[in-house]
Amino acid sequence: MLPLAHVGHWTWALYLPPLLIVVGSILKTTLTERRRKQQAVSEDLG
Amino acid sequence: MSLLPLAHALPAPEDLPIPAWLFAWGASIVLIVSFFALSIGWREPRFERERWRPLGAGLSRALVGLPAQVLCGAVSVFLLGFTVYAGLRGTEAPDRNFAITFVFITVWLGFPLLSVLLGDVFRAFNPWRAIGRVVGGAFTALAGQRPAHLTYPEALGRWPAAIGLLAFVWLEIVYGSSGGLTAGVSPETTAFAVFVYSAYTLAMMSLFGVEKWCKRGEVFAVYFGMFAQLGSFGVKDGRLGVRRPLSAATSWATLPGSVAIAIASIATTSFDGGQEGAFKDAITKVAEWLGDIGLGPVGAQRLSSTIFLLLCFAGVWLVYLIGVRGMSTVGGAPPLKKLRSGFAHTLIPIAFAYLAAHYFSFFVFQEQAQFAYLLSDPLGTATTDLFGTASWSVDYQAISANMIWYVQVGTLIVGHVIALTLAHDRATAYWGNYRQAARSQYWMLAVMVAFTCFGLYLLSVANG
Repeated sequence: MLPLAHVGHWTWALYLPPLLIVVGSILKTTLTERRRKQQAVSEDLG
Repeated sequence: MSLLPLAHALPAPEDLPIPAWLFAWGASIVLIVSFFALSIGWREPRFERERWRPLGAGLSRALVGLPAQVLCGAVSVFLLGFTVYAGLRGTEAPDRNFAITFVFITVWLGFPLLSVLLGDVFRAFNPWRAIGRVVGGAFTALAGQRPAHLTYPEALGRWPAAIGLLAFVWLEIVYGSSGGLTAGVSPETTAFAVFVYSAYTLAMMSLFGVEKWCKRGEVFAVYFGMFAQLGSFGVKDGRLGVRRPLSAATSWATLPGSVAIAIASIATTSFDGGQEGAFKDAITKVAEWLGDIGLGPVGAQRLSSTIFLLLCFAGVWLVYLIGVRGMSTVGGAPPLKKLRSGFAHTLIPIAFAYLAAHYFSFFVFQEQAQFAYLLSDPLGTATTDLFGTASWSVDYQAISANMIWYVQVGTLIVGHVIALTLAHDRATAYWGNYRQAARSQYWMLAVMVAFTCFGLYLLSVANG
């Protein structure tokens, strides 16, 4: 049994995915860049 | 805008080809595509210089010369006086009294539009500036010297205008609404507010000087002037000229408090859009809780609305600060303080888009009233018919509900694409390296997507 009567209260969630995708992409890019920099530093040291 | 019940009597859009939330997805895709297009094709700053050039001397004299200034000033002072008179002597019915529609719709919503299209026209139509200049001129003629003023504390910047903006909107949408518990701002209250604000403004002008106060503290001059930065027309040294559109905005936010004005504009529009829709249940719950601890129903509703208005202000500021903070993590970034003020002008097109989208239909319908029956029967007493239009009514079929929705969506998208472009342009100026500049703008893209989706969500609930 889904509480369909209250489904209208959750329509705001449908507006979130675009933002989550953009923020997720930023975080992924940031982490990848950081990892690449760390690898470059460790290769230089090695 | 809760003064008149009209905004909430509109039909909801019907037979849209896709659900409302999918428009938010589509708008986000437009922003993302625009972002990549800017990253690839926009490698140097283009808005940092205005490239202002004067228009013909005759045209400039006719439009901004002394006779035009005297005429516009006289008209504005007459309208100010008449607004107070209509508020005090006219009908108490808000939709039939000239004062309410003139102040809260024609002036408050009309001047931002005029400012974007024609430049800072309010400067000519500012009644307090006109009075201040006449009084200052009379003093100089009589005393043989210019009036002495106090030095304005520059640390305050535009903060007096920002606080005044919040106070004005509070009067309009919190005090004037109260969840339908009161009749809204009455014409008499409006007249009283205009009178008090006039006294305050003239006092500040006498203390700090007319032009200084108009640039720092006069709410309407600063607020409408902000929107004028987006347009092509500007006056320099008394000469009218044209400049590259949007370019004047890049140097606007240099004074303290400028960010607050742009954020207050977005936040107050958001709150107004949400108070009868997205935030309604939450506002009511907090008001009930406040009622339980002893506040009267009207006081509880007003306090609850005030809390949500301030939360909107804090929320919009937080989203902007997240964007700025994110940019600061990119290599070669200027100091955080410089970033915070350096990108504030990107909020101006968002503020305008929010204003235009939220009030488009309201403005179209209510201006019919302004230029029909309110012009002929400004006091609403049914005793005058100056232009033979007193019996005219508002045509609610002038625009369809779907048309309103499409204009709202289109306005929000265009406003945010312009904001994204301004942000990218500023980034290329700050970072130099266009790759780093584009990298820094990931965060501003997130800010723009957040504001677009939030705006469309508020509109979809309000329209529904």
